[in-house]
Amino acid sequence: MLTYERVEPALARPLGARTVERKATEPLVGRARIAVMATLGCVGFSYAYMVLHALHVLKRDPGFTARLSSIPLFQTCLGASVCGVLASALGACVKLGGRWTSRLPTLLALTIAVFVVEILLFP
Amino acid sequence: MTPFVLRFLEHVHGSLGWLAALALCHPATLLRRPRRRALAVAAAATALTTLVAAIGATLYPAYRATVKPLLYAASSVAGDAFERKEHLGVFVVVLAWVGLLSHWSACNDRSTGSARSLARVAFVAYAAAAALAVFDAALGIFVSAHREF
Repeated sequence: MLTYERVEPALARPLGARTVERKATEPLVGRARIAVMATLGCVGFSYAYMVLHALHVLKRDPGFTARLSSIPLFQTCLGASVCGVLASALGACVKLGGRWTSRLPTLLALTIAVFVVEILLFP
Repeated sequence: MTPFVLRFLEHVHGSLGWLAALALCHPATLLRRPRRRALAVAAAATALTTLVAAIGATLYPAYRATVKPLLYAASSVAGDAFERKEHLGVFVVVLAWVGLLSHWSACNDRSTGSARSLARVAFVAYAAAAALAVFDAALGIFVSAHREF
């Protein structure tokens, strides 16, 4: 039987239904945003770690990491974490479902490959 | 810490390290299919990996001061293997957390394009974490064969 609700479901929605629907999807968008920020933070952390590690191998440790810890490994970790947090802020600007989001797996895979090669070649 | 406690923690770190490496293989295998839900498995593997890393970080200052010079004196290859193990261990923990957050996001929203990308990110992160963790654990055996606390 054809009812008004079946023919025009959008119009038959009670007032405020769209608002409720949007509120229901907000946590999912928030989770996706956190995941994108974490991935970009990991990429930023990795590249910062590689740079700080290379500087340590060359015995040119930057001054700000020396203040973080007395142990070189912890200096590199903490310094790279600071850079990772800054890089994760970029995730707040990335459009979800856009071109950059679809490239995240490739970006992460590339970062992993570069990181592993550097650590294996220059321990 | 007393030498007994250090030796005990070293053995716990080694044994749990292998367990964590094998635990990471589980989500890496399950998440090959993007629609698969494995949140509990992923969370357990990530928690175990973090615990192993925390024990390693606790041991590191004492190890660096007492064992590392002897390790390099015994074999420079083993010393370099230890350095590689430490750096890769840090990376494994970071990858496991990225995998967990991506999977947590993707398994609640499977319809959008970003969810598909994040499911792929979770698989890449866990697969790399598992492979590196197994390699790391093997390096740990190689290093401990040369020198221990």
